[in-house]
Amino acid sequence: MKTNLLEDLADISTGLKKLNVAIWLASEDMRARYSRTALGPWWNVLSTVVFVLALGITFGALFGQPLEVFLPYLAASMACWNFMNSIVQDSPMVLIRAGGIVQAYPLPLSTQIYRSVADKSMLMGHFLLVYVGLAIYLKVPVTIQTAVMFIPAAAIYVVAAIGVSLAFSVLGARFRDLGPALMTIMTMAFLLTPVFWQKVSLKPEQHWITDLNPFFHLLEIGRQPLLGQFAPLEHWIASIGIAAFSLIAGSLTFAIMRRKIYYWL
Amino acid sequence: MTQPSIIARGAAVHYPIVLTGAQQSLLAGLANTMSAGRFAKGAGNTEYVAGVQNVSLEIKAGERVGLIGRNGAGKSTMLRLLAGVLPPSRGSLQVKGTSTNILHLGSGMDADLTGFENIERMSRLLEIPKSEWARVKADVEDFTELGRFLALPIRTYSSGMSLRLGFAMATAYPRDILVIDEVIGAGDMFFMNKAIERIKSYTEQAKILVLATHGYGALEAFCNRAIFMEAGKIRADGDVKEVWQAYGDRGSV
Repeated sequence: MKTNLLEDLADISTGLKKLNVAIWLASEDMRARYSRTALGPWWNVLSTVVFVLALGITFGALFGQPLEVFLPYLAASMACWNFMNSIVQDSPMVLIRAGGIVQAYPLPLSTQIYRSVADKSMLMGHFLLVYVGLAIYLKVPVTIQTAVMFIPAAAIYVVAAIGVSLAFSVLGARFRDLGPALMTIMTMAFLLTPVFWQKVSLKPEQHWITDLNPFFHLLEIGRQPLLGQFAPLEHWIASIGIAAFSLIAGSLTFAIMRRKIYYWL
Repeated sequence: MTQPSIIARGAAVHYPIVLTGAQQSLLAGLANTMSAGRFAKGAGNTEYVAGVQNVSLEIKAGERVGLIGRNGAGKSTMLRLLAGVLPPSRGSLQVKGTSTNILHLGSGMDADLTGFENIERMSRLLEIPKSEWARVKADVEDFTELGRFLALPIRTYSSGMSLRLGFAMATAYPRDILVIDEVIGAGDMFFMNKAIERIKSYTEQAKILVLATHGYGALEAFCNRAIFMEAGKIRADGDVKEVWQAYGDRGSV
């Protein structure tokens, strides 16, 4: 297959120029997904809240953690984890689902990736609104200085998400077992990443379990601002590295496979 | 302003034939590669079928091209190629100018939304500027004559009604190139007459039209050039009457 890498990479930047189309598609997805349901996107929030409460009360008792500390920790962790998890698990399906539009309209292929990231971001936004209520109720010590750090964290999340989605969307369209494989991997990752447990519970010689886990660093920069803390610099550095690598590797994978994908939708 | 054109040089389209699940499996593919073909044999070389082979042609502004040929000759594949919806596996395809297509009825339409809502939806997907939306909506309403049905969900429409809506949308905001597949066949005579007028005025502005058809009626009404395809190759190209003759002769062999 004749490849023109620059032209394929240009699809990613053209998609960015036409971001309004992607965002509109994402809001249409939200509307369509929840039309004729009682709560709309709040169903998604409700299920996470129930999960947090259930896990919080049982594990709080098990770990001997006071609820007003453990619940916010869990809620903040789940907000960040849900975003990352849904990006990884859903991206293999992104192009397959959009097959109709891709084959009829000359929109950039990357528009579908931006659409997916925008959609997951909107869902996270809904959850964060509920988190704010929870944080106020439980008097979580959030300050302006710490809260503002959420903005660069969100930016890093979006960049990493775009990179991961660019790669897995094309790989998932070509190889249909990527989706199920990622589902298995992410289930394991949920248990191995300190989402509902904390790194301090590990012995020093076990610290590699968390330190080598990219999700851990991303989690830290996302949840600490929500808990009124500054995440240590090492997590920021690692996260920026992860996001950069993800974007570069993702863009290259996408560009290389882009033309082939039209044949596999 | 450069004139729109479509130039293909040695363009080919090779569809992968997926016979086993292993061909679409990443893990099987890895196993096959790493074991040098010993394991997961099904994931080895994928077979390809040539939908279109080694096609070189040039379509200039003002040309209304009709693609004819038997079923399976490669017309739809050729249309997808020319519409820029399928990149060529081999060779090159250069499209100058903007393009719209009606290749599959109802692409991008949401069956639960009303006709009006779908007009807005397709306006966005077709990237029609917001300033034109009111005009487009009035134009589509007028052309389709769907009246009060436009306030009902698309899922209540017949295929002819969906065709009228899709066709009206695709031609509401003229782009340089229009590519249409045989779906036009679903229209009644009344619609065909209106469609002829609409396409004629569309192409009067030095645009390009490419249409696939089985009927001489549509060919004669819409086109000033015909291309006869067989088994993915171009067999005849030129005057409508002559090419139709070639197609007819071929069919009787």
